[in-house]
Amino acid sequence: MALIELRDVKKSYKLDSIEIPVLKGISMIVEKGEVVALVGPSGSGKSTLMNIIGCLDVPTSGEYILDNIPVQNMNRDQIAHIRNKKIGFVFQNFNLIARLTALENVELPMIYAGVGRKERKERAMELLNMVGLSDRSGHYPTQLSGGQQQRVAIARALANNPPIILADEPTGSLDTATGKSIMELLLSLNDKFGTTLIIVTHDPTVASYCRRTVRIKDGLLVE
Amino acid sequence: MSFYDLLWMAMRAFKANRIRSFLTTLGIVIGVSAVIAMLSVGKGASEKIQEQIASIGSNLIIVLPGSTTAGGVRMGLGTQPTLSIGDAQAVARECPSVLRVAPIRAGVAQVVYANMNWATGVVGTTEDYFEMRDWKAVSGRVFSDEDVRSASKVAVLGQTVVDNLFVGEDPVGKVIRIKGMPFTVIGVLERKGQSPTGQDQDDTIIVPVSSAQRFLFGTTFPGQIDRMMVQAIGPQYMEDAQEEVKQAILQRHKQEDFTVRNLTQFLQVQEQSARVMSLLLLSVASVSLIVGGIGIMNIMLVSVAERTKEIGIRMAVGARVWDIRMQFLLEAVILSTLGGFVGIILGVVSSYLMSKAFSWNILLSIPDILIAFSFSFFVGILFGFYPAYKASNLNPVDALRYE
Ligand SMILES: Nc1ncnc2c1ncn2[C@@H]1O[C@H](COP(=O)(O)OP(=O)(O)OP(=O)(O)O)[C@@H](O)[C@H]1O
Ligand SMILES: [Mg+2]
Repeated sequence: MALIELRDVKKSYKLDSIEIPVLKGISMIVEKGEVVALVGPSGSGKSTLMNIIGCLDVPTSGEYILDNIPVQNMNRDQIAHIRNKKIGFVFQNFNLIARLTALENVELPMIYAGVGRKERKERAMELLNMVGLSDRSGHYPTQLSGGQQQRVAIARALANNPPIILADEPTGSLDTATGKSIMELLLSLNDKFGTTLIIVTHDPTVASYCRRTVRIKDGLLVE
Repeated sequence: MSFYDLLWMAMRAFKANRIRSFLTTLGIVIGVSAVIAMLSVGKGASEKIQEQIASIGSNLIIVLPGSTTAGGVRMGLGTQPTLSIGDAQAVARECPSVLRVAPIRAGVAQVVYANMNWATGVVGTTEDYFEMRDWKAVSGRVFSDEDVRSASKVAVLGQTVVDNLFVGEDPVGKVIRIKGMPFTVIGVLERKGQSPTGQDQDDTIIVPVSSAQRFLFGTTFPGQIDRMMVQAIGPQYMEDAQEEVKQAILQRHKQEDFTVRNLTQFLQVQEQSARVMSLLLLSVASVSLIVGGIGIMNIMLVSVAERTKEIGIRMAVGARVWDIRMQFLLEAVILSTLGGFVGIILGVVSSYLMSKAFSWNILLSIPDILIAFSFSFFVGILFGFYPAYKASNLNPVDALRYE
């Protein structure tokens, strides 16, 4: 069953009234429970594609059907709801809110989902425990190492039990050993919960963990 | 997202920027306290003038001898002794718009009781005078029309005179000497305080006009009086009454050697200028409140720009348009209402201090305070909305890319 379906998705940026095409017609299907590595040279449009799949950006043309719902017909709040419930995003630079503690960062998606305070704290604690950071819940992001920050980010991505986790170079700013453990953590989610994973990477060893590899070059897929 | 969560988020934001939040609030504090202080001072001033107008009496016209011009030469009002009791009686008889007339023969006299003496203004008039000025006796009685007819030597005292002649003694029934003539005190008047021109209205003795003419000030022609006070039957009849009085006296004098003046009008003009002044002060104060609001807007815009990335993150994890909007709107409203609250306290305290330091009359009312407070609330909404709107309209990808 197709969870993610892209039909001839194009994205171009306007710079000084010149259209620069970045995605030149991408069609792909990702089934529920798949683990996909998205690889390609720098500037090929991987992040652009991930942002569209993650509903952080909209395509210039083409269709995006997520869980049988065409995303392009939705209003901003409906899209926010999808980001909240269906997608967990893991960024290369972690994107934690510096003013909030690890625990509060993990709570954030649940706040917007309307989860009660007590339940939220409990679940956030559970998640931090799962990523091995139960003793760091009161730390602020600046008091954590890169690997620890990325674990917090993964815990946050999991907060509302989303069926899809999107990770844009999750190990990009980490050393090899830490990167490996983060990859193992992500893959374990697929094993345990059947979470669909799409992981952008430059690293062939990271890609080798994934069952399917999608290559992108100059805004087009080359399987 | 619950209100509690929103509130908690706002508190976290203030904690991160204590000094900035404090300074932003200060703008509103100053604005609100200025509005409160100006309101209380302005209202106090016009209340005081209104009180003074009431103490003079309502719908009053005064007739003075002497015209403004006589044979091309300007004459001082009241310099020519031309008015008489007969004129007053004619006015009372012939003018339909006139309710009461009080002829006045007055002067300054030395008053003695036992070993005390005091120089004060003595007013000789009729019983109508008390009615016109709405002036009652607090002890004893005022004199009657019988006292006037028989020129009895009775006197009604103002409080200041009592204070200066009698020490812990009831003046009623005592005999005082005015210009050496014995007068029996029959009553003491209630306290009226200062007149709008700053005179002590209680420093006076009131006697029957006939007695004043016969025993105290004399007359150069029969029935001479210094002026007369006329009360119209209603505020809308003031002009009619003035014209009727003028015609009635003109018929007797055959020349305009007297002047008719509206006494209340002069005071109302004074009150109006006090109102304009307080309105002016209030608008200056309101401007400072608006400047405070602009300060909030400025800081909120800075705050939105600084937290662009945070907004992107919040959107990426599922914040809806109004979640973001409410977050920033609430911050602005908290800053402004907090400022409003402190501003009210400061405004009340400072108007109290002003009233003490300059002995100004102030008037603070709960509705005014509530209005000032809700004004600060709306300033928060008004000036917080644009930054909040701007924040909610960010595109998540662009916001996340912001460093
Ligand atoms: N906001 C933007 N405005 C203009 N051009 C953009 C914008 N965002 C991305 N691009 C362009 O789109 C192209 C693809 O960018 P993208 O970030 O998707 O590449 P990528 O494959 O993720 O590269 P990398 O591996 O280095 O992260 C680049 O040429 C980039 O310059
Ligand atoms: Mg990229």
